[in-house]
Amino acid sequence: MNLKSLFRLIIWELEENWSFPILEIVISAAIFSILNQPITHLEFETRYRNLISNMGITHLILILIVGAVFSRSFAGSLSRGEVKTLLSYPIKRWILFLSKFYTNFIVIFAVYVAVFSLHIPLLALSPFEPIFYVLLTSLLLHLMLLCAVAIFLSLMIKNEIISFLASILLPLGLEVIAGNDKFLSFYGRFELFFNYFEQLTRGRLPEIAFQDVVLVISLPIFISVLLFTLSFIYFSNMQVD
Amino acid sequence: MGAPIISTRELVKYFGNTAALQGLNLNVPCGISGFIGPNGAGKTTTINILLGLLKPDYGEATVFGLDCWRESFKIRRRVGVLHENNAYPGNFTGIRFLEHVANIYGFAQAKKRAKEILSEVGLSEAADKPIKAYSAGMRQRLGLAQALIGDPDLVILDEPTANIDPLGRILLLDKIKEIHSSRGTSFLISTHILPELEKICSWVSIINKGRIVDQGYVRDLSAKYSANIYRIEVSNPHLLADRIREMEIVEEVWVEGENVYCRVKDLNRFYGEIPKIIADLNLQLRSFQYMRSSLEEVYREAFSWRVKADES
Repeated sequence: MNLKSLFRLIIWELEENWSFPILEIVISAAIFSILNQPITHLEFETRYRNLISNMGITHLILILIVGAVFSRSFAGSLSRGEVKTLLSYPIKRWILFLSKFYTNFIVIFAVYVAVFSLHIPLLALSPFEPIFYVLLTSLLLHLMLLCAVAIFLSLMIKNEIISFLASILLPLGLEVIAGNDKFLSFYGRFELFFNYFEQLTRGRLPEIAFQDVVLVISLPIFISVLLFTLSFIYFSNMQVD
Repeated sequence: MGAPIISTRELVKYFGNTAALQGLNLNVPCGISGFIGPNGAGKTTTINILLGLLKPDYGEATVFGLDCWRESFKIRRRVGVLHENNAYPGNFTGIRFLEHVANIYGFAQAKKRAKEILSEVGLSEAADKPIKAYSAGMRQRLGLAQALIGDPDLVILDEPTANIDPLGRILLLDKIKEIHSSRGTSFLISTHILPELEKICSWVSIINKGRIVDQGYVRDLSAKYSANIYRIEVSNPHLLADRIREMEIVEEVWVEGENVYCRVKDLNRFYGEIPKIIADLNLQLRSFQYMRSSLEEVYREAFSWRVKADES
């Protein structure tokens, strides 16, 4: 019963928030950010490095997309009164929360995976190369973190435009403060993660400490889970006026 | 009054330092009930608490005996609601929106149910139009449709006649009356338009500043807050008026056409003496009517009673 309700609400969310031209804009932005990159590594051994050469732009566009989509879905529907209408039907709050999160998270990730996969034919890469999936995992972790931040801010602020701005400015501000720190900055984490697994898949002994990799993986997961749990609890007990 | 379907006890709700409800004791029986009060009286806050959208700071609220905060899911299965300024997904068509709502209520044939209810509220022709293209009246009818789609036992309507033209209001209230008689659905209607509400509701709860001013069956309240006015139609009204003026129990007498109107202090004494006076004067009595107070008068009187009570 709960699964059925979740599925119905996912369809509702898809039709409401991903109708023309939202999906088209997100696909265009993903293509621009992922495929618009210089090919600097032509050797067979290092050509996977091309995949991360443009990560700064990918990161920036991802922040914009996540901020816009989640602010519209959470803060926007709260301020427009759509959440109030939905919660007046026999819908459990946690199901509504999860349906909003799953729909937007899955669509954004699916778009990015689809666009990222275009590298396979364009750069003549192998689809069975583990480093390709390592990169996708890294993108997934980062997307999770941005989504958790955007949901948390949307629920706290409850105003679509302000929460959109906050969802952009906060991660960017933190990124500036973090500089090139290998744990705190997105690019630092991404490079460390990539280098470790690149060395591993090339059969070399990694120069990077395993503990560092664990920290790079667990830090975004921990913050995401924390913010997600807080948002979930807040949404389940929120006063809807 | 039988067992109330809605009951609140000493309900208190604050928004910051502002008290929206200050010990609200609301009781609503089965049937069509009115929930009236000035702007900011706490009507919408009460409705939001009844639906589990807001948590009261103190007190209890139950619908069908179920706790409004802890068991709100069970309540919402049995209650349909049309909020004031109900929000709709604008890019949905009317039929698609109702199909989604029917799916939420678990209808196996959601589209069929959506079509049925659209036809019931007279929106079949606009079924495939996007909701953002609907007029205010069409939106209200769509709101009524989504409130009724789950075949609820109780429908709560917050300002259902707002933004609707007079004919639309009459049609909407007729529809409510018809649904109540055919299905036995109870309604709680919050509105400012009392003359129209009076035509369909049997119970009324009057709220002001987060407290119940008075509540009861309309006929009882009408008698309670009656201005004690009689209308007597006789062959010679001026002669009767002169005689009635001499009575101590009469406050005021006036003549309009063939009718004598009098405001009396003691209803029973007046009722006993007036046939004798008419017989003495050898007048022909054509009609004798006790003037029942309208809901607007009840509302006004109830407020003035409350003000006097508060002052004393």
